[in-house]
Amino acid sequence: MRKYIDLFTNGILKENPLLVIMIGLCSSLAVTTNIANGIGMGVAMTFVLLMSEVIISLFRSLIPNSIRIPVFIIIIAAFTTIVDLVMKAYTPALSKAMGVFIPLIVVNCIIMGRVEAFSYKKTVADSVADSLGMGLGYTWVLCAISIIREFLGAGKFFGFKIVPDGYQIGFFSQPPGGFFVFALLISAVLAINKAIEKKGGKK
Amino acid sequence: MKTMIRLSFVMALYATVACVGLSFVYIATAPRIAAAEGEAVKSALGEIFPEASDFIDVTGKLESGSDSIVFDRAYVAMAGSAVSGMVLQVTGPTYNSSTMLVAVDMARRIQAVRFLSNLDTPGLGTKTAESPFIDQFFSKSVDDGFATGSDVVAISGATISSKAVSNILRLAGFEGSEYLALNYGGLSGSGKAPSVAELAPMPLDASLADLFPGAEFSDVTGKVANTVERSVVFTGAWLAKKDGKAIGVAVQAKGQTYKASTILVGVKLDRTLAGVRINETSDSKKYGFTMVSPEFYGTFTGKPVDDPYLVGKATEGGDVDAISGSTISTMGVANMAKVAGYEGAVYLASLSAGKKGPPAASPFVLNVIPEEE
Repeated sequence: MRKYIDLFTNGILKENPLLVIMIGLCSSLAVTTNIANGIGMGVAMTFVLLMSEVIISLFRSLIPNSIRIPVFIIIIAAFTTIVDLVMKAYTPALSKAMGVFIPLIVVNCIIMGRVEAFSYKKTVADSVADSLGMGLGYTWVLCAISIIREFLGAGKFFGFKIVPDGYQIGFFSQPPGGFFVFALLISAVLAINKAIEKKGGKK
Repeated sequence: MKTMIRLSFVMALYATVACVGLSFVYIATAPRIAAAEGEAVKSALGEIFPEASDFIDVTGKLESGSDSIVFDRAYVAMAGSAVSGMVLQVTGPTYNSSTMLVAVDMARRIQAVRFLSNLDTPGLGTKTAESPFIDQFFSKSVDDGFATGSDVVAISGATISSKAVSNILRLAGFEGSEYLALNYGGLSGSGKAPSVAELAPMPLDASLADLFPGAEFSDVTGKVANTVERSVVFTGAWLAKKDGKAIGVAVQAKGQTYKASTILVGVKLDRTLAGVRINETSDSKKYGFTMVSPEFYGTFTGKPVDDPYLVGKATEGGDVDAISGSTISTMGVANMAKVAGYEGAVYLASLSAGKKGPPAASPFVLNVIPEEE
């Protein structure tokens, strides 16, 4: 049990895909202008990651090594398309707001990286723990970035206006603002990870 | 070999399973997606005609009369029992393709335009959906010319998108107004339906009839020989006769343009071209393909076959104007027109029907098509 908890928490902080491994950044910077987008993208991505990791670790002995990458792409693309269709059908507004970034989950490095480096070699249970950890790690960072950007850039919190007009900083709604917030989060997480390491080292 | 077959089989298996799974998901979600899109259109309709209480679905009752521009949906806006206008959802080719809602009022004016999708180049073609370009259509009469350069100001750097969007708006606006005039007492206009010329290569039969109207044709393929240029192949020849007398010959030639094109060259007895028509081309849609427009091939009509046919941009003192951005394609067409014209005239002279060429007619120089532009 301890192992699974370790695997799960690994993705959230220690090996956070966005803040520590720093992959799959484009979509995360592009959609994080409001919290609804952040949650939607995080959930969509976590679903695709979970399903792809499960399927690939289930069939890992049946996927020939030399064609593993194309097979991964087929599996990831299938689940991405499912997410895309379901979102179009049930949350059309959200699907429109995210535009091309939902189909682009196919080429998200986090998914490709995790299935290649992790689930192709590990058991299904390990993969589930890893994908949930990674997915949650991705989602919380997305939410954090979008809360900060939505608050500073649009003066809103979960869509409710809390800062009067004229006091917003438009910079944070633009891509540079995304980079800025992202960099702050990276340094914060680095500091936390270092502190944890130090504490662990003293023990 | 064995592993290769095994691997392909495995790959195909995974793809098949994925496709079957996806088709189930698609079947399950398709009605919901269509409904959601319908909702989006309905709410856009409400914004365009805020006073309207009801929208009558007349989808399918209007025809665009064009192969490439499609009216996807159509609604008549009713305010109580009075009609306030109608909205068409129209999809057509712009630089890539766009879908928009076009609203017209009862007085044959465009009321509003909303883009539902615009797949043109971001930052250039997509500007057609934005102010100030799109603003110039509001309250514009559908009987106007909608011509870029006169009553429509094109976006610089996105002329093709601008033209295409104006065309689509004009067609949709016109057909919508006509429908209102016929069925709901809207103002009727005097103008003819705008014809949206779609650029396409002209098939052989149409080209022959276009070059020699009213003539009869007898196949003389093989009798017109290409003796001068190996890179141009004659794929057919037809002698045009009127009242039993030869009036000219049409030679079909295939050769290199940017990629390859097949053109039909009509030669008259007096050693001038009846014209050039493009039968086929595999040149790029964005540039060389422009050769299928009448503005380009029309420049060859009446041109003496003994002219040099050198392309102006590439050769000092050339007599053929290059299509901008497609000098190579122009050169290819000019070369084919020259060779086919020359040989056609020789053939006509051999029938002792046509004028003989001046002594210096041959040999001549062709455009040198560079390997890379």
